[in-house]
Amino acid sequence: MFDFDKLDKIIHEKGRLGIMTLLATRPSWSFQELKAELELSDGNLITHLRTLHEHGYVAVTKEVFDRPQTSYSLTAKGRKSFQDYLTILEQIVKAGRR
Amino acid sequence: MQIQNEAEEHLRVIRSLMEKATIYRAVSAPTALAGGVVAVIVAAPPVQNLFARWAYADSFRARWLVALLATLLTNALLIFREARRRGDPLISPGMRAALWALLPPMLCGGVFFAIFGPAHIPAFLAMFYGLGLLATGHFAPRSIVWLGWSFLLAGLSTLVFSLTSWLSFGMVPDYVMVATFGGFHFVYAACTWPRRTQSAAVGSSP
Repeated sequence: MFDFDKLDKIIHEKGRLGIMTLLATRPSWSFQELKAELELSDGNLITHLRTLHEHGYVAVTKEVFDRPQTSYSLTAKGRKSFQDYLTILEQIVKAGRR
Repeated sequence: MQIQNEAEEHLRVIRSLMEKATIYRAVSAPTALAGGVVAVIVAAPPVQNLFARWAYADSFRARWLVALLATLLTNALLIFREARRRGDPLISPGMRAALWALLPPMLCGGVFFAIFGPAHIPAFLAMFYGLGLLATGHFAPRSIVWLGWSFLLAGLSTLVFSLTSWLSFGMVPDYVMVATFGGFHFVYAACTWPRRTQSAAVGSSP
């Protein structure tokens, strides 16, 4: 039997899960790219990113190329938490099939 | 049971997002636009005259080789700029996969380009380019697959027409190149050009 409290509640929300998933696929994503891919409103996306940043899952980088741009990436803690979260999800699904 | 359904749903979301994020577009809209513009330029009569003086009998091949190099150079610059902006390596895993998929048909296209005369070059180039794009289909967006099919079908039709003497009447190789490598790329660029969205300043400015 699983202890469902082990599921990371920070990641276990569709918007934040989407952000964590995309950030796991490549080194960094700009705000606009995340917004386009996840089809979230600016306000929603900013709130989720802020939550993830406050919990140390997401690093924020502000750069200026042609124009100012903010990019986001997973921290080591965020990557580890995402992997642990995936492992627990897989265990839940496997247990249900037994 | 409910938590298991939720877990399955979340795994589905993760899988679909990861698949979407690893899609690689071998031809970007700006590259397609550049390719289309270059195709129109090299087929323009003044450029034809210029190359005719310089490259004599091989003017057609020389012009389209220059068009290819100019488009590849533009594409390389765009990829370099985008990779730098994202902080990604210049040759990403997606790009490597696309290059491997494109290599065999492009190699064949290059050999046919060197061997055959202008009458058959447009058909072969369109066919092999189309096959190359279709070879990237399993990790490319649908628009690339449509572009690939358009080139392949246009190449096959051109080949049939060029081999049928009564149909090949009036078929000028340069016009076929402009219609396919120019026209198809213009349509593709127009359909896939990234739309800019307005971002409202809420909280921290992105």
